Amino acid sequence: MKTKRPLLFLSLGAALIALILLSMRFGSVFIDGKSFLSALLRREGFAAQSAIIYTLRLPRTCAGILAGAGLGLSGVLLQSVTDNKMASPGLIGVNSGAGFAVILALSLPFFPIGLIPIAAFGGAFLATLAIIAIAGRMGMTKNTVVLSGIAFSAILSAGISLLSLLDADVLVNYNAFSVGSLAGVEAKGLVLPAILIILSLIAATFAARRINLLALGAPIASSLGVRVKALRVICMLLASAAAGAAVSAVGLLGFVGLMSPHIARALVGADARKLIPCTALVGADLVLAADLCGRVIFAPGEMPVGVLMALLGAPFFLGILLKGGHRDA
Amino acid sequence: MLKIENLSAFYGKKQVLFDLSFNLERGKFTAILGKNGSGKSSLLSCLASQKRYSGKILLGEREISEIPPRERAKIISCLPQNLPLTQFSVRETVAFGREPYISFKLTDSDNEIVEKSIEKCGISHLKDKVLTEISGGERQMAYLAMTLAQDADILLLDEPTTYMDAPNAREFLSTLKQAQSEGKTVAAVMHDLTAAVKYADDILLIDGGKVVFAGTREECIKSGAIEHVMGVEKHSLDDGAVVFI
Repeated sequence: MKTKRPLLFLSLGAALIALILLSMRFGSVFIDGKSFLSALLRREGFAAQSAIIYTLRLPRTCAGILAGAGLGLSGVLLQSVTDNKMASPGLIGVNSGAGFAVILALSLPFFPIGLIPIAAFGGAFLATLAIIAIAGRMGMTKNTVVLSGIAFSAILSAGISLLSLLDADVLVNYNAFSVGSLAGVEAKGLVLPAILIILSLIAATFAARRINLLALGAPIASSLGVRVKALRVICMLLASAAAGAAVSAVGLLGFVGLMSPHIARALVGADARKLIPCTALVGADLVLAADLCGRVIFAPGEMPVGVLMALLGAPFFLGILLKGGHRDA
Repeated sequence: MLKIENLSAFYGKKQVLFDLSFNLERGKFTAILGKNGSGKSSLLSCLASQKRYSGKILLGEREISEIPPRERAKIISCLPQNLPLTQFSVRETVAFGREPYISFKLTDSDNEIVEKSIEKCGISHLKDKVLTEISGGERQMAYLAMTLAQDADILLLDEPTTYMDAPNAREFLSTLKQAQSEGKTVAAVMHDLTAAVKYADDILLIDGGKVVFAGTREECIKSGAIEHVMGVEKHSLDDGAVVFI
């Protein structure tokens, strides 16, 4: 097992800073290097560039960091709880719960559009609570968590299909949410997700020692004094809060929760004390890099980050399968 | 040490333990014997408070299921039959045994106990290896070292030597005997009847979820209970050792 890797964390941090700067400089409007620096420092004569950087690109960059960290954190927690390296936020109903709540909200005649992110978070969190309740009735084992998640998500997905059939206009708006994009994100909409994701990350890092013991299986973890069921529930709630917050900000961004823990595990090993912060960093790097590519390659237009993540994530998923990741399930 | 009174347990709707009463004596090595499906592992899970039961399992005057998990982990440790393959090193795995005692990080004293436990199990040369890189027997020893590092008074083990070859099994059981000589109470589910009567002080024989025999090794050998329940033959060797075939 790999042990001390301070340089690795420094590298990931440096990469994140570089991506933040690149993400604020590049976009559909070209800003040259000199103007970028001046606009960043809010010098006179660069008001237009400053406005682009601070009102459009900075919130977008922050949203990318939060979404990547939140979804990555959610993925690594769920992979620990279920001892299944193919687990991701969709497993605990985050995608289907948020999706159902959003399409339901869009179907209601007087639902304020500004409250859609709240509906997304609420849907994701309620779906997780329902899955915890179902799995709890069956003993809250790693298998009952997975099976409950699959079954309940299938019910919600059927609900999404039904509502989308009833109103074609709703489906158009829902599709924009379901793809996942950082475009048009506003700073004020990021406050609550930021608080939730940062608190979840801190709590998960504090619980990392105990999360490590879950890898030894429930009997040994229990013998070492861990309240296994309670720890599983806590991890699921933290995973749901982090992923729900991310989804409420950027929509259903897939594969980040699956890919980031795998990349982080390859870098720092299985120890949750290093794996959890590393996954958050990798997730943030991944989403920012994908969003940047989507803006630079397709400039002056852009490709939503969700589409690029799916293009990257699907082969990655197949790669894990071929490498034998499913055997860990 | 542990007083078990009228213990019953269910697996789903099926009752697997019926009104068991016996004692686990302090500082003794008790072998729990019985056929497959007789309820041995369920009994061990109850003793470790990992399975719901009715009746009483008393540690002194205290019901073990009412002791907070972290406190209980300092008194009872339980090693299950199937031990996981993880990406942790042997040393990290053994250090997990100190979890009930630490609040933030391992102290020097914890590290010393971890090193001693690794040494006792004869796996010092493997401590930096990841569990996936060592053999099944060595992994079993790593988990025994973790159990020793936990420093609980009572060690419960479920078929600890099943997947081990004879030399490794002997080493494992000798290490357990050494722990016993240092004051630990040991209860192990065992399939190797010959090893059981060689290493254990007391025998608990279970059949169909009921206690058929509970007493000392000598009484057990004399009673013929093992032959009767397990359908084996007993042979006495010249050196006095007893072999079951």
